[in-house]
Amino acid sequence: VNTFINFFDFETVQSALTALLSSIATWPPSVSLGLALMLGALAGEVAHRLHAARIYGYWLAGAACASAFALMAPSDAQSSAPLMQRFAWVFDIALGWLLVEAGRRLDVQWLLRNPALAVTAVLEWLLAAAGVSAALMVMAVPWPHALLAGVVLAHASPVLVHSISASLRAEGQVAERAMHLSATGIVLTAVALPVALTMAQTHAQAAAVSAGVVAPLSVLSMAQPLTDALAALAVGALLGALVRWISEPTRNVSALRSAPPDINTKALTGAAADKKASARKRRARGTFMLRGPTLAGGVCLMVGLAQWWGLPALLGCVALGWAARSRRYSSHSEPDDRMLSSVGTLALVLVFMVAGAALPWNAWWQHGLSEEVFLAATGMLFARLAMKVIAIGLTGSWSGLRLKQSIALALALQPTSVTGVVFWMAALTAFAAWNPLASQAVALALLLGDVLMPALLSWLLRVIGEAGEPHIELQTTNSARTRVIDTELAGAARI
Amino acid sequence: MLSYTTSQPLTMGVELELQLLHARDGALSRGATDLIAVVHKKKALQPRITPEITESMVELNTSIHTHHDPLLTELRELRDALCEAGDKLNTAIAGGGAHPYSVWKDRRIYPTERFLHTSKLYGYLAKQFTVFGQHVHIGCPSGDAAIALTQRLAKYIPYFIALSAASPYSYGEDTSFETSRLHAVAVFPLSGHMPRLADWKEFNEYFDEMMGYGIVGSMKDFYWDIRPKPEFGTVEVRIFDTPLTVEMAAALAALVQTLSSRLMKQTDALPGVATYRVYGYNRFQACRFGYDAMLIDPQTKESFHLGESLATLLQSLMPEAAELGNLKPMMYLQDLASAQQNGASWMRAMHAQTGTLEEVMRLQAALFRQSSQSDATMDATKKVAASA
Repeated sequence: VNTFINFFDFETVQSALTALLSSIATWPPSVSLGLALMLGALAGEVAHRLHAARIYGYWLAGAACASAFALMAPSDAQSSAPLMQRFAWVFDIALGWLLVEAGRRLDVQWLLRNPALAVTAVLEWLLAAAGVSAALMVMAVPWPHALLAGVVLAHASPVLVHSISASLRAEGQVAERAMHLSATGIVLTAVALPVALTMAQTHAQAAAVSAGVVAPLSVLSMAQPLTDALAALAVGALLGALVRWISEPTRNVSALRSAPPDINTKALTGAAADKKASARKRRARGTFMLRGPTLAGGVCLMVGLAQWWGLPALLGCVALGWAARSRRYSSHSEPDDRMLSSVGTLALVLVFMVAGAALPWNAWWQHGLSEEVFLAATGMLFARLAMKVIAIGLTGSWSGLRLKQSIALALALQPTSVTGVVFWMAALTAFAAWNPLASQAVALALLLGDVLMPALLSWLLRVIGEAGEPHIELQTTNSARTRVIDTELAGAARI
Repeated sequence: MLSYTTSQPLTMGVELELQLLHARDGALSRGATDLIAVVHKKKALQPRITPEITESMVELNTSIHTHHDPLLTELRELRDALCEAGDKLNTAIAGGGAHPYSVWKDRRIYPTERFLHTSKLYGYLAKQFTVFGQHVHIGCPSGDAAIALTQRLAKYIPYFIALSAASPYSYGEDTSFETSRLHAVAVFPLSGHMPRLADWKEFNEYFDEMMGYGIVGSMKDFYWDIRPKPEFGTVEVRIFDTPLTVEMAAALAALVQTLSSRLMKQTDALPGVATYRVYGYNRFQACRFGYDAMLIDPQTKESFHLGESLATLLQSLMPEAAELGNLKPMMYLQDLASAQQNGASWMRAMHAQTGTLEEVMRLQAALFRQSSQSDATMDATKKVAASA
């Protein structure tokens, strides 16, 4: 009995776990990664069995691991940070892959054909950034710090929107527009964040020299982040075009698209019998197989080049996906598409685990949450929601949405998971002097978003009728049977 | 007893079932509800653009016309309204008899009482029925005339199939058929041709019998290739694949009108039993080989080439076409028949040029929304006809 009690002695358990957690950093990376994936997949399955989105499981697994580190090994040396750093490159590629997927769904032509939608994209982002900033400024946070929070929280996460939509096989205006607006939102945030950081840093430097004097912004200092953003877009687009060139057979169809030949064009007679036609078809089949490897190569190259040249990788990945384009029709038949789908799931497990682990669990477990931070976070979330409702409400009818859909779209643009964490960490890393209230409130807002938004989005897509049917509605009984039997019975009764 | 609404002979109207596509990648979308909501903001369009059995299709209905040109003008207006609404929703509109690579399980039934009932009764067949046809209504003065025209038109079904065929692909593969759409129709128990009936009285007896069995509730339950439509006072030809352009749709309507004009004047006996014995085989030949089909003549018991006999038929119809103002569309059809081209050959040619069916669908949508080329071709044909 004593042995049994001793075995469960808290201090013994704690020291054993501390030793275990400390030693994880020394394990071969593949063992840690393998365990993490197994844990994430298991947690995802549990979430699914509980009728929740699988990403809840991934996220909670990450959050639980980081919390375990925070509770059992509170010193910095024993925290999860070194482990996370070891796998930073895996996370970057996984996130890059998911953003490429988001980019592949982006149809810039739609924004051109429906200018109201383009206006919505900019307006909802601007108003959300303004709303979040104003909510913090009400709590006496200096405007550059508040603006930084506004920029981080203005976008909606295309990763979450895309993953929930895909898991529900959602299709419709709310799902499509949410994917488009979240993709444009991430582009706007990726462009605006370095600018906001520059402004905050300039303001902080000026404040250090002379309190209360707003320093003039240097044009050059503003130009650098914008140039980087443009360069990332260009590199991503080039890599995407390369992926498409290698893996897609379609060539020079722009002329055909602008003026497709009429049915009775004489030239058509020979076209189908063209000797090159069979070669084109053969090539079309062959090139499908190259899509997976070329796309994966493109993502790795983009992430690597962005790190090398100091460019915003997120932006480059969205551009890569946009230029590589979507090919939806083979998704059920081609083997490489099944492979792409598996890689996408793997990437989802990884990024949501890291998103769960990256929040400041150490600080929260050790110092708790102040009421002020909670108020600021909820204030920001409400301001963000209100502004997105206003922006989409203003432009919804103009862009072809019904009122119900406009409200649903505004709600569908609330998730910030993963990309929000990435932007928050980038801001915190680049600007250590970020107002603590602002940075902690953003982190808490991200946590609240992670907890609430996947469920909200899933519910929303079901309520609005855009989620795919869960299964075929099998009518196993004969709907005509009752009528026939009634007739026969009636006849028999008469006889 | 069904009552027959008398209508002016040889008036015509067209119903076109159209594909709703994702503009980005040409896949079938589920956007009918949203598209109809946008289109119906204009009240005049409410009865003209209506839902169909699944969310991936809409139906475009013209008003009643006596001539080809106003029919074409209306079709173009409806098409433009539809495409404009589609632009807002990133939904492209396309003709064609069937989507080349859609999967039936991804379709969704449009939520009306009738469509949901059809879905309950027919199970997966209802979703698989996401195929797209053109229906041409021809006005008939009486029920007897409608029954007679329905039967006399039956032997021309292979020609209609060859001209309109525009569904050579299914599940991403070339089926080797000119039209695969009709296979989706053929599985329904009341498809095929109307039974051989002498007149309106006999038709009513047949209808009452089927009602008595509980097999049908209305004329809509008959999926025949040609059927009388007593509430409109018309005969409805339902065999056509939706053509790739509205110009082609109007031309096919003009052909039915011209042919009906000749058939309505005939007073000889209605087609005999032999016509119906070869009906299925001739229909298959046309679906499979299009213009190259070898048809059986039940009278002579000899086979003949569809393309050659179609050319003769079109030429012989020119006097009636001239009377009805249908020379222009009839010559357009003559051009197509002589070159042995139809929607299926266009799709195959585009597939040969681009290598992907996704690109074919995008081109198909682009072709549907433009009319300039067809118009120019038809105008040129008209000039040639006038000078001749």
